[in-house]
Amino acid sequence: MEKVSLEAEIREKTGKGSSGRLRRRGYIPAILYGGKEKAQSLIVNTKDLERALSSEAGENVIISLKVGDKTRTVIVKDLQTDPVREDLLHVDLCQISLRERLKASVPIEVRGEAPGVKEGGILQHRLREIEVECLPTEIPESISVDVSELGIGDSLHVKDLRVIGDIEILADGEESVVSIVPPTVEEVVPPTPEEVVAEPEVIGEEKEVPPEEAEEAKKKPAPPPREVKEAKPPAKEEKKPEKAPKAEEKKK
Amino acid sequence: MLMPKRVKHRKQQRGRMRGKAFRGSRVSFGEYGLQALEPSWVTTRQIEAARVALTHFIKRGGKIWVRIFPDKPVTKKPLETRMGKGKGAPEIWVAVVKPGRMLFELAGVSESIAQEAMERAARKLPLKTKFVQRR
Repeated sequence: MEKVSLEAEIREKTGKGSSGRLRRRGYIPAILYGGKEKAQSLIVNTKDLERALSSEAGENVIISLKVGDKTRTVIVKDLQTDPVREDLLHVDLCQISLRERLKASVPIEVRGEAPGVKEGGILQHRLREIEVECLPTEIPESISVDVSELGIGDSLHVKDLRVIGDIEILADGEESVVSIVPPTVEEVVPPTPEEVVAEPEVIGEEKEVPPEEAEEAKKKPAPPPREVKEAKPPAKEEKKPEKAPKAEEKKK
Repeated sequence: MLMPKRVKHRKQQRGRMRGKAFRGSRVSFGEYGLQALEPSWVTTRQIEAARVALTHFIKRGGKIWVRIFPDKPVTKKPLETRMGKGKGAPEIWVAVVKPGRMLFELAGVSESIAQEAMERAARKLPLKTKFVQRR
């Protein structure tokens, strides 16, 4: 395993203002944790870190970090990047002991050409990285998978992976790593004159009776059924002819 | 056409599109991707048009992932209607896209085909995009 050296300074100021100023000057904020010491805020030169990460080990590189007079062995635990510009924004460094086993994710490398791909199938990666547990010095750069015997519909699982040395694979053995899937066929949809877009169902629009109310309703005696009375003609219409003769009398 | 099956509320406020998309901003499934460079609403029809352009160009072979989903209803008032009388009826569904968001992903094709296919898809979209590869 490759080991690179990196220098860092202790960072006094925290927050987005000072971090932004640091990034503009060509440094990035970092944090160091692990071991028995307290977490420490640091400043790292961006180019030095990029150089360290560009080694063959990638993000699993072991770094000997020099902070002031002390030198510590660390690994990169987390790396934050800008989604658009892809600049490094922040790095988490974790102090490790070279004698203790640790968990690391190792990239899976595909070797060979699958006959299924020649027939028109698509090689699909289900797992691109796999978590392993081993000593820091034994972290492999990658785990290779031979796909030269895979036809359409075949897949390789975690249990098929072969690693050299005292390395334990932590992923489930039945998990698929690589598979050859049949090619997608373009769907030919007949053109429709005008698609009627139905509205989606609104959750909770139909009033549901809460369970308590439902129980109370059960306890109460049911009201007697209403008697259906025969429809009577409206009273007003009956009165009108009575009033009319009175008015006629007054006129007289 | 893409739209949710069930929603909690029929109508939504418009909202703002500040900042970058930190989630869903990496090539996670395929080998190549189309990444948004500016904020925009992408409608159901635009997503479908881009998807059709992609599948039509790569023909057989290759696998496509659509990484955005239109889950925001946009309302519109009918034409020649006076203002007021409440919010209009839901008209279209849009996906809120921020810079950095991965819109489509592609696998199982060569880089040149993927690039051309993504360019064709990008022409159907209302925002600036860039072609990216898995790192």
